[in-house]
Formats: sequence, structure tokens, C-alpha cells
Amino acid sequence: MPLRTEELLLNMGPQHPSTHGVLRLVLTLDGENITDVRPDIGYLHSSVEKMMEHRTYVQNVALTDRGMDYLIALNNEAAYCLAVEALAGVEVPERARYIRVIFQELNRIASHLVWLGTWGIDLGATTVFLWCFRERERVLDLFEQVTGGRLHHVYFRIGGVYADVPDGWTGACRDFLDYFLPRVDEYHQLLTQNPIFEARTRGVGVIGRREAAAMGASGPVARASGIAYDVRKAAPYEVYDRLEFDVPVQTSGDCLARYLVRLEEMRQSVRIIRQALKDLPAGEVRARVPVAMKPPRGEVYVRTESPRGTLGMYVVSDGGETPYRVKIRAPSFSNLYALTEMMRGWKIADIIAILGSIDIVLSDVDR
Amino acid sequence: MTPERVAALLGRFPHLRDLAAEAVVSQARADEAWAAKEREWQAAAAQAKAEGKPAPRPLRREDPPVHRYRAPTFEVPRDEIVDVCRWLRDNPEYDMTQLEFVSAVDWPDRFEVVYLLVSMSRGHTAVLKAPVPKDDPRIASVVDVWRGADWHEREAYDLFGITFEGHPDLRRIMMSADWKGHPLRKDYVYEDPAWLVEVAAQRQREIAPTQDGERPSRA
Repeated sequence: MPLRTEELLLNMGPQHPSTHGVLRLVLTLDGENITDVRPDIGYLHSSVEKMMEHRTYVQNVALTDRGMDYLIALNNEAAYCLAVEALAGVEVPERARYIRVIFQELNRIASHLVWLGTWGIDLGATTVFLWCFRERERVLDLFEQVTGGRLHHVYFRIGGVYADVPDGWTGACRDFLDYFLPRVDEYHQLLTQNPIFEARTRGVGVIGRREAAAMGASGPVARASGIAYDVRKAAPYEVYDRLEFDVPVQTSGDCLARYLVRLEEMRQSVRIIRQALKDLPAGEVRARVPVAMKPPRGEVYVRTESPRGTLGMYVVSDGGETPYRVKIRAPSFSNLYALTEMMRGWKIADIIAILGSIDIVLSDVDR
Repeated sequence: MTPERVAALLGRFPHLRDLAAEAVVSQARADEAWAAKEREWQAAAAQAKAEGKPAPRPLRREDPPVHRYRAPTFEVPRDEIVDVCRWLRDNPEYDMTQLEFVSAVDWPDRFEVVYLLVSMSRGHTAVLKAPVPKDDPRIASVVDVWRGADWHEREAYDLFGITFEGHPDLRRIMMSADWKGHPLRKDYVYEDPAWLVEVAAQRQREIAPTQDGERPSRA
């Protein structure tokens, strides 16, 4: 009698610890091999785009913290503020633009640390988690000294930032950078040569250059597949065109490549912050913007490089006090779609490694 | 995109309208009209001064519509959207390898489906806009051109109710499958789902005091 096999449908999530939030994966399995994966999203949908249509331009800054990606609040705020500033023609003071760059890069480090720590736990390496969160704590302390908040800052304003950094903060920031850079090498020593880590990541979850582009992947996921594209270089915003940094690119497109890209990005962020601290000009930190601002009719699309990829803000104004339409181009949304391509043909045990390597935040996917 | 490429694109698809160029022209016209008005006012003011009368009321300019596009923007008829997209992707001059998002705007008289295309090799972007009538919200799907359009089109379908014809799996993505209405439409009114109303009514009955002031036990 010939052996008969049958495909099995397996439901993973939405309450699964390694899906990093409420994500449901419907897996079609042939034995232990994945033949198809369908992510089911929308559990965290709060329709932040609709909420923004009912709040004024200034109030919406606070919504970008909470309604979108909660780990990169400052990057979200920056994207929104840049869009409204472009729409209303607000000139941001020089010092505020440097401060914004410093904070965006610090937030990139903090976000990558969360990713590396939780991914380490996913792969069974508890040490990485503890080390990463030890360093992240210091970044959050730096945030707290300036913004008063650790996750939801509402620090950026349309036209600049809320207040200048306190005395001695730049010194504390420099101390952190001196402390942090050797720590990145420690992570590198801990993980990159580790045979277990390597066995679980090298060659796993490969996505090619062409597929990554067609499926809309951006940020570290695209750069790990050989797409040398970074919005900070391609269409510089704030003062990124004056700062020197490299865009790390890997060509293998596997989990290890995505890890290496993010590790190098943390080093580059340190480099950017050091330059920005050195060049930080004196002066005002906030342009005068009316609280009940009414940008003229028109629309604008601003793209920024968030830690997860291209974060776009498409703001349409009809001349009123509230935006007519806000579309948030969330990087996690498109990167998660690329997951369906990465997972085909791998085993159940690899799901966790692959899902963790693309670094999604579900509140960013669902908005 | 350079002006030559924009011209080549417009030549290839004669029904396309370059909205960014039109905005520049209308802005120049508005500036001209404003300058003429100002000259008139200054002449009137000089005359009034010479005659010893009070100066006429100063002019106030209304905010002109601005379109601060960071990219050239084209209005595409909805029948041509797939052709234009495929041509933009396959032509090495444009090389639009990535579709950044598909979404829509609900204007009072029409829906506007917005496509944002990016060329990662050439570093330029373009915006395509396809107006879609409200009583017949259909447009062809571009999933065959960029696979990444899949979820974005599902989202636009879910939140705006625009049907993307030819989409392999067009169902709701953010809202639950039994949701009524399309939340991002301007005329959308939220209604509590029936099961929620029932649960709330039941709870109200449970906690409502009886006539002698005692609450019934939740047996």
C-alpha cells in the first residue's frame, strides 16, 4: 500500500509568545515543512488614520506615539512633523534639526536593542536579552532626562522640539556612546561565531533581491538582500546630508544577513550622533507655530528611514484645522508581507527565527 | 524624475495629466492676478493720498492652493492604470521596482486611488492618482505588476470599499470579516455590533435595581 500524506493546517497565534504581539499565522504544513503561510493581522487595528482626521495638526503628534509603532515613537513623530512642516512651510531652527537627528538615532539604537534581545530569546540565548536591555535602559534614561517619558515622548513639535536639552545632557550622551560602542562588539563576539546561532540563522529564510523589492520590503530587510537603499541617503531629510555614515548592505538575504545589517547600523548610529553632537549649533529650538494651525490646501508625502524601513506620511489638507486624510506607510506592514516568501520550504522550528529576524511591531502593522 | 522623462511618459500615455506642472501653472497665474490687483491698489492709494482722502482698505490675499509634491504626480484614467504601472516598472529609464503604497482619498465627488512608486536604483519617485466615481468604485488590481500591492489593495478595499478587479484574494484585512461599512469613508457612521448591544443590554438588566432597591443576585 503506498504511503499517503496529507497537508495539515496549523494555527499559530494570535496569543503566541514569539509572534511579538497579536499576530496569527495560518500555516499549511507538509509533515514539518511549511508549504504556505498566511499571516492574519488586524487584531491591533485602532484606525489611527481616522482618529487623525478628527484632531488638530498639533494634537496628532501625540497620536503618532501611541497609534503607531510604540518602540520608535520619536521616529514616528519626526515623520509626521516633517510632513506638516512641509505642508505649512514652517522653517525649523538649525539646532532643533540636529537635536531631532540625535534623538532619532538614539531611538534607532534602542529599537534595534529590543529586537536583538527578543530575537536572542526566541533563539534560546537569554544572555543577549539581558545585555541588550541593560544598554537600552541607559538610552531610555537619556530620553527621560529630556522628554520626561521613556516610551511615549511627544517631544518633537511642528517647528522644532518641545524644549532644549538640559545642561550636561550632551556629556551624558557622549559617555553613553563611549560605553555603548564596545558593547556592540561584545554582542558580535557572543553571537556571530556561535555555532548554534549560526546553524539557526545562516541560509535560513532567504529572500532574493528581486522578490524583496517587488514585495515592498524596505529598511534592513531589503538591505540584507542586497538593495543598497536608504532614504537618509537617497532623499536626505533633517541634516542627514551633512553627516557622514555608511549604509551597511549584505547580499545573502538570510536571517544572519539581517542581523549583521542591524548590528552595523547601531555602529553607524553612534557615528552619526557623535558628529551631530560635535556640530550642534546654538540657538532657538522651536519656530513659532500657531496652536490652531491651518496649513493651506494641498498635500505632501514625506519619507523617512525608520529603524524598520521606509516610514512614509501622506498628509492631505483641505485648509481646515484638521487633516483631511493621513495615510501612514508603515514599514512593518510591507515587511511582514515579505514573510510569506521567506518562510516557504522551511521547517516549523525556523518560523521563530525568520519571524524574529524581520523585526515587526504589530501596532505598526495594524495601525 | 527629470523633465525629459516626464515628457516621455506623458507622450507615451496621452491621457495622463501632470498635476504637478498644472499646479505650477495655476500658481503662476494666481501670482500674476495678485500682482495686477496690488498695482491697482497702489495706484488707488497714491491717488487718494494726492487728493487728501484716506487710503483704500489694504488687500488681503487668500491662501492659494499649494501642492508641495516631493515627486511628479500624474492623473491616470482608471482603465490605463495597469498599463502605465507595468510600463513604468519595465522601462529601464524609470525602473520603478517598488510600489510603496496604494491607498485612497475620499473627496466629496470622487475617490482618488493613490499609488506611490519608487525606483531604488535611480532614486526617484512618482505619484499616480486614479479618480474613481463614488457610485462605481472599481479599479484594476496591480498585483500582477508588484506583488507587494496585495495587502495594500486589501486594506484600501477594507477601509474604503474600492474593489480591485483581478486581485487574487480580496477580503477584509484590518476589520473583522463580518464588519459592516468602510471606516475611512467620510460618510461612515460607527454602529455597535449587534452582539455587543445585546451583551450591554443584558448587563444593564442585571445591575438594574429592583423596586425594593435590592439588586437581583447573578444566579
